[in-house]
Amino acid sequence: MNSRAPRGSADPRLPLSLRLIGRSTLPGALFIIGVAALFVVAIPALATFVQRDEAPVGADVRLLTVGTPGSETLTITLADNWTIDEDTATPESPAVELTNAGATLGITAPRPFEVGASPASLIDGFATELLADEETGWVVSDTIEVETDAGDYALCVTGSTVNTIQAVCVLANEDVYATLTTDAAAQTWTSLQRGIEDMLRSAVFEEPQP
Amino acid sequence: MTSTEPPVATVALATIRRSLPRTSSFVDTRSLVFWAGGAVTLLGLLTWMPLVLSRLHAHPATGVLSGIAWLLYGFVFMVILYRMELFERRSPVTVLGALAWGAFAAPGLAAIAAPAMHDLVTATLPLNDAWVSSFAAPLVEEPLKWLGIVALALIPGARLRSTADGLFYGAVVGLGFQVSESFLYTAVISADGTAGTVFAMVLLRGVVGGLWNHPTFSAISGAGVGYFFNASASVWRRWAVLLGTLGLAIAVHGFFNTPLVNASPWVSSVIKGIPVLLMFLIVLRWAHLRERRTFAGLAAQVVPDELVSPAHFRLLASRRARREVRRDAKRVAGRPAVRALTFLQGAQLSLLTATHEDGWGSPRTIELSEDVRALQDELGVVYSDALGSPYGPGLPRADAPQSSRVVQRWAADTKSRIETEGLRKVARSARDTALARIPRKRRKGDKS
Repeated sequence: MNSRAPRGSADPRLPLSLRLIGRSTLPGALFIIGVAALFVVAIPALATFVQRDEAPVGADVRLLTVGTPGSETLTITLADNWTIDEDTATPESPAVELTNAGATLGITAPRPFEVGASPASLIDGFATELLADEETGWVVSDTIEVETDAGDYALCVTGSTVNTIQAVCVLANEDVYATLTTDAAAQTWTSLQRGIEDMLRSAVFEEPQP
Repeated sequence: MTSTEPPVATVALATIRRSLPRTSSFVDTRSLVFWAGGAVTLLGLLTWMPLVLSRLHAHPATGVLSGIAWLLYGFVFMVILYRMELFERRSPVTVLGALAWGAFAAPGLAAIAAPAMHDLVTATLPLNDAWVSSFAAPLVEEPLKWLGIVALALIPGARLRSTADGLFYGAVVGLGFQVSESFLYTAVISADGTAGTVFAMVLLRGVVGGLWNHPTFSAISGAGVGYFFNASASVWRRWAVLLGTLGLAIAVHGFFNTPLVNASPWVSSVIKGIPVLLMFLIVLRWAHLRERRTFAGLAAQVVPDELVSPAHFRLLASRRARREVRRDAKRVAGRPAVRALTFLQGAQLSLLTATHEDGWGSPRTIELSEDVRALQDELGVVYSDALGSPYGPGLPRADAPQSSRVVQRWAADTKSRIETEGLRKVARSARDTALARIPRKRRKGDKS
């Protein structure tokens, strides 16, 4: 047994956890609400404010048409907060890239299937490519089928590492197809996925204009 | 605790009468912090559940399988966390509250803030795309998990009363976050009816990247919260530890997300994970040392020896020590002794915990003191039947009272008498007592 009296026994400084007992809980509650509001309100507002001067081309565009004049095109209704990368927004561009929260969604213009190719063979090719990348170590999902509002169908696979997600969809209409490729951080994927699915479902193939 | 170590201030605090929390867990309906935390959790739930339900609706079979797999994973880790506790004592209700914050509030709010933070980091820092998430993710997720631990600390009923408590609840919040987030990621990428992808994701996010992930990060920041609310150090030091440990958690999380080591996921996870794990073990060791020192001090200087003496505490100080004593008890007096000793050890630890949390003399300590006495009697009867003596493993002979506790009791009695009888009367009485102790012959000789 120790022969000394406890240090500070005469006038120990009470720790905050004991001083809080019986006190008003309003300041603590305001702190919790304030920090939560910082993340839910202030940071999104600040992000919008910081980006206001660099809103990319097409920030207000709701319908995006991908494809070169004179050939079949693909029209997509953009989901909220997705903007078109100005470098890819030229009429001659065979693909357009959309961005949102650091994620990119690349959409290729419709093109005919090569001989012997099908949506299934193309999507298998993407999955095989991901699985072959042993250095990154992707976990690849099974293929899922998504039907668009226009009645076309897409086959999709998703690859995941601890921190990143890559999703590829092959959207087919008779003898042409387009691909939609998304790269995103895992942390943002859950928030972005619904918008990407909505854009995929909104896709409409259009015949070439004479 | 060795005899050369100074007792910690928390030991002295246990002798001070103080107000007690209204509740035995964080559920305190008269606390605005409780309602604020509830509102934030509800907001998180409303944001998070649609994402979860949409996955369950799209792929019910793999969604349910993912849920089961990650709940099992969470259960195993919860058991590991409990095994890391020196003294089993946290309220299950409060633990569930911490899990709920980690599983719903933090990921729900992060789902709103993470895309914005990615935009903000991209717009303000000159970073390559691969580096953005190593800044954006920890800057959102770590403070949101930390906020849950702070909320618990602000509710006295949660009894977050030590650095180790903060570390423990931090790890629980982090575990809730990891299970919830990983469940959703797994459900998101698993097509219906295939278990292979589910198990691959559990392996990737639970084993490759999970062993030193969210629970570790938030345990580090939680230890800082525990220190801030319980240390008697200067305000500057406490703020430095609070913000420093949060910064450390953000830094190690960011380090874990960096594209620095681009080897195979196993190799890079181990290379990045080992420094993080070492950091966690250092913080764990620091928290355990503080906790053990406090409890040893309570056994030595506050709780009466007949209930928990320093000799008793040496046998209670670690799981291994407690197990070995029970093994000895079984060897000398069979299973009835093990059963009685297990209850006694639990009651003694609960008594030390109650002394630490509510102070000596509180209703909990009075009630638990009775429990300890009853269980000691029960074990004494078992030993008497088996050994012919009421003493045995876990029930040593009480040491003769001496040292500081006697001094403390004398000081307390004297103070009380001065308040009721007056200083002059007490001083006269003390003089008479002192004179009475001097041998009569010597007094006579002095007079002569």
